[in-house]
Amino acid sequence: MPTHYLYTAILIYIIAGFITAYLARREMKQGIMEYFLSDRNTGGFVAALSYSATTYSAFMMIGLAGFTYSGGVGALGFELVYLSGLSLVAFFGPRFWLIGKKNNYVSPYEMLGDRYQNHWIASAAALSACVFLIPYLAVQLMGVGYLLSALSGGKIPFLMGVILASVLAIAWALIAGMKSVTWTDSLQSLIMMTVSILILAYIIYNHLGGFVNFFASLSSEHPEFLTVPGPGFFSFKTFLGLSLPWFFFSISNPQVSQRLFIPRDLKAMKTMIKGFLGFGFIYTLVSVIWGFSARLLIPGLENADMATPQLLASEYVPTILALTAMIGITAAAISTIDSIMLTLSSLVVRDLFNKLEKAEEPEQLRQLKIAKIAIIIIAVLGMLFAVQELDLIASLSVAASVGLMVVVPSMFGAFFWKGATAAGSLSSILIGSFTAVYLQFSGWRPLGHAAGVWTLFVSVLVFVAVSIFTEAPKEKADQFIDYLNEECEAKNII
Amino acid sequence: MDKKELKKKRIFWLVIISLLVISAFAVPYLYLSEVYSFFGAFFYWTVFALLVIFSTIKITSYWRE
Repeated sequence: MPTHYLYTAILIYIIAGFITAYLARREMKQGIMEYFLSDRNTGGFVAALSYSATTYSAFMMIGLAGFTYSGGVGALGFELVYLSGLSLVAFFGPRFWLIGKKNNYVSPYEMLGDRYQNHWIASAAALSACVFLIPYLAVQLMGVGYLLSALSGGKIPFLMGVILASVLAIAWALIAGMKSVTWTDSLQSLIMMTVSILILAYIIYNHLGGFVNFFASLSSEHPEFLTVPGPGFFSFKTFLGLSLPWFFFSISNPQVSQRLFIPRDLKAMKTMIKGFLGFGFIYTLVSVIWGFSARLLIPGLENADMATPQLLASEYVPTILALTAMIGITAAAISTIDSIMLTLSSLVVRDLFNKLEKAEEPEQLRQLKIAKIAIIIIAVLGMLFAVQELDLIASLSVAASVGLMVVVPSMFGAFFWKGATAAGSLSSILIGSFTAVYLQFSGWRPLGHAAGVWTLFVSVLVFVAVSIFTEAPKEKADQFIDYLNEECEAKNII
Repeated sequence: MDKKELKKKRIFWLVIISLLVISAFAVPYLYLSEVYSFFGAFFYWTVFALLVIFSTIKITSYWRE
């Protein structure tokens, strides 16, 4: 593909992104709440699009399509089990939102620290989020680097793609904090969705004879790909090990759970949930069918992750569509990267270096300054990891969904169990993180089960056992849960 | 809605969603591993997701400002 086409497409995308970010800045007010949470005043439509863009990264059209290419329909099951995890938001979402507003929480871990009356919990969870999410961020940067390099036939070097993605993510996070992130996310989610539907429809109707013929070809040429375990990758234990951590994604990943604080009101939260569910359902089907299309059109690839880049570079996709697809995938990556950077910076400020007791104006300014420096440091770390192209980074990134799951028992306990204790929470986070890292790196699968299953089991067990034998912060637990019960009753929240 | 009614609804939807999620693991592996067409695991997981989406939206429809 001629490189100047690529540059033009990228330039248009960058200009559109910057215009959106600066429009957001014009609406921006002062203060830390505004910077990190858009003053808890985001409308439902923007919240839905931002939630979608943050959740769905370059993984969908590359990684999930690759899973489908090599493992078949199990990829669809895995991703839809994840989507079904959003049902947790119907229970946790309004509770997060209510208590966040009442106690002025900025980060979900700050909420845990306060609920259990132990700041070490917030620090431990924040540290573990940094350990797992910075490599995850690095992998997204690498994705942009590889994609641009593959589509330009190497004329755009890998490093340039990584730097470009980092600079855009830093800029869009710094320009107006959560406001510019959510606004550019909205733009990018619309690009992701439109582009992916467009290229899929083109491939299906021009090269595979429409959807009916597509499924007929699939069942005649690759019948095993329509079943599980299918070609072999999705054995039940692998499926369980992959799906279980992702089921809890909406409350375990801080860049997503922090978004439960931002809707303007319950109506906006409803719209956010509905919008995300619709987006996720369609985007999942599109990514999986795209992966199947690659299986039918370009079978025999050794590296399944190359299915999407190879299909885009093949004679089946015209240049103009390949370009828009590249922008769509880049948008998916960058919208995830800037959200993670902003959330991690809020964890650094509120949970690792917190002095928040007196959040007066000068203190707020200091926090904002630290946050902005943190965003740049996080981005530089991500970039440094990305250019090393180490296997360690990929492993940590895969371990991210498992590692972040260790806060799940503490989240349940915070909202629904007055007997839950700080010692229970802290020990489950620490021992759970250790279990996740150890099993991921040693490759040990006790009884054949993956790290995700054991990490959840260990962290739940430790949380419950330690809580039973230690003393709960009774006053805070009563205050926290009783307030929520009253509000939930008044607002019909089940 | 009073407290009792809310609790009843909470338990009802928790059970429904839990059963749906368990079925997403069990049905394709136990009953559909020999169905080599669109109307096998692909169709089941799609319907499963739609049912969970419907349940989630239904729960949010109870909310009042």
